[in-house]
Amino acid sequence: MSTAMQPETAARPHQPANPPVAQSRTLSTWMERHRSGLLGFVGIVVVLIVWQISTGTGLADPSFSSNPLHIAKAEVTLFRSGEIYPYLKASGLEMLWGLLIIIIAGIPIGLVRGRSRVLHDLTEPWVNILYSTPYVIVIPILIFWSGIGNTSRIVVIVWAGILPLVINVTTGVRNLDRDYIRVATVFCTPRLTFLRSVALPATLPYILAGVRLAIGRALVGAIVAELFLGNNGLGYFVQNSTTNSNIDGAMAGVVIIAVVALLLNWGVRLIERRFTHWAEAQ
Amino acid sequence: MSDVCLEAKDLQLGHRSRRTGAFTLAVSDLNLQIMEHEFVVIVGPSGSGKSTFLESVAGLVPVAGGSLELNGTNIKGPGPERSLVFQQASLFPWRTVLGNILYGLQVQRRLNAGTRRHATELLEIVGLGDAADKFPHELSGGMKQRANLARALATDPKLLLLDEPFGALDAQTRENLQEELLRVWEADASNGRRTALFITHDVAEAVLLADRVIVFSSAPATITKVVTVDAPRPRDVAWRRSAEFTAYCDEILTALHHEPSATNTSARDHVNGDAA
Repeated sequence: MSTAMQPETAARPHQPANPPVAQSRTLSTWMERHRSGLLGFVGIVVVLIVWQISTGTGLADPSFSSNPLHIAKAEVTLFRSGEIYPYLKASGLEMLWGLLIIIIAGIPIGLVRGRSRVLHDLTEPWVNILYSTPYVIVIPILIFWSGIGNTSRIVVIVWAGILPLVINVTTGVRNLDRDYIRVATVFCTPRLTFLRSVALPATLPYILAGVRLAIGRALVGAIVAELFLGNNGLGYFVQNSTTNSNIDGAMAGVVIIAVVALLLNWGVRLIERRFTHWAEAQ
Repeated sequence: MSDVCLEAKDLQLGHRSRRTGAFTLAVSDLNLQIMEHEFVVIVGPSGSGKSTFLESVAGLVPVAGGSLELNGTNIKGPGPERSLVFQQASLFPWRTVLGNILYGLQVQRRLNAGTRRHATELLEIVGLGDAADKFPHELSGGMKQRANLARALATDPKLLLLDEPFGALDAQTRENLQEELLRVWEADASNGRRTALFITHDVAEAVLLADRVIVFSSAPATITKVVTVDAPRPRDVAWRRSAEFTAYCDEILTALHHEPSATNTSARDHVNGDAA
């Protein structure tokens, strides 16, 4: 999951690769243009083949380590029988709610914290405490408070995901170009209007980078919560399959989680490309 | 014609250092009057208080002593009757050119069919009619400053403030824009010409634009000389090459380079030392 490799706070807004150049579509130029993508694909295929061969030659035991063909077969079974859908739906819904809360609450909190020194200084210790403390440790307490239902899961997701977003947005607003503030001041921009019409669009690159971090961490939070709360979701499915020695099914669950993570990440990158083209050209 | 638009009486302006808390005077005991419909240019050495003075008129720098009145009312902050053309164009990169020009009207809740029409007319006047839907990063430096000017005019200010708007441009673009500015200033005169206060360190620019040139000393600024440029408008390139033009420039340059009394200068150096 590529979000996990990003620095966790104050991530730089996404920098694009060189813009595509119009070229004649011969095979070699096509290969040249998609070189890094092709190499990445080759890298994946090589690992899968080595994995497959090592289980086929008895180097590794497929009942412990599974193998790519088994996983593919398990995947087909899971989707054809519909067995996976309830788990997918449970995880999807809790991620959806969690991310909605993270985005709707996190962006305004970050914007206001970035503009108000007093609020920033008041909340800074709490942000640091909540961000630094491994949230996993309070999950048992959360269960004690709100049971093993959806509420606990969503609380864990929000806790996991909202802080990198808040920190990123705050950093973005605090680094706001002084010239923009002067323009806004000279044209008598009211405070709330300033947040909406200047601070929000100016920090959009930071916001979207923060959303990408938030999604990565929220997904980890969701899976961890499912492991702990143990009654539904993809995390529970993987754990349950492992307990029943169904490694193929567990691995198939892991692959689904990875695909979900990559799709979410890719979606945010699309939004970045659509809405922050002006920042890339600066 | 002779109503006072802006009046400074014994005005003191300065900056307080965030680190040491020391107050550095940028403008001291300044007295000046700017009449309605007048185009006044302030020239001064760089680092003199001329930009600070303009910012205080814009409401960005608080008055430290004396008074600064706009149409008889003390200036306490920014107001919709004043607009500033910034030194750096400072356009919002996420808005189109038209979006930038409408910004002031939008946040002041004055955007309607009439003001929008005025804004698009301004866009035509400054020569950006075809660039309305472009983004700032697609514009050249000169085009950005045209948009900067149109944005300031779109809110229909009584007093137009210009902070060295052409300082960062190349010589040729600068000359073009100086003439453009005069043309726009004369073309956009809905109720008589707009009062304008322009800051520069370029003496030729000052003479070309001004009804009156005010020469500031180095910081803390006081007025060294006032030169009334009594030449008919519109002024063109030919006039810029005339002997009269050169004579005005010489007069101002002399005033810039021969500052009064040496004792004052040493006191000033002390203050500058603090600021450095």
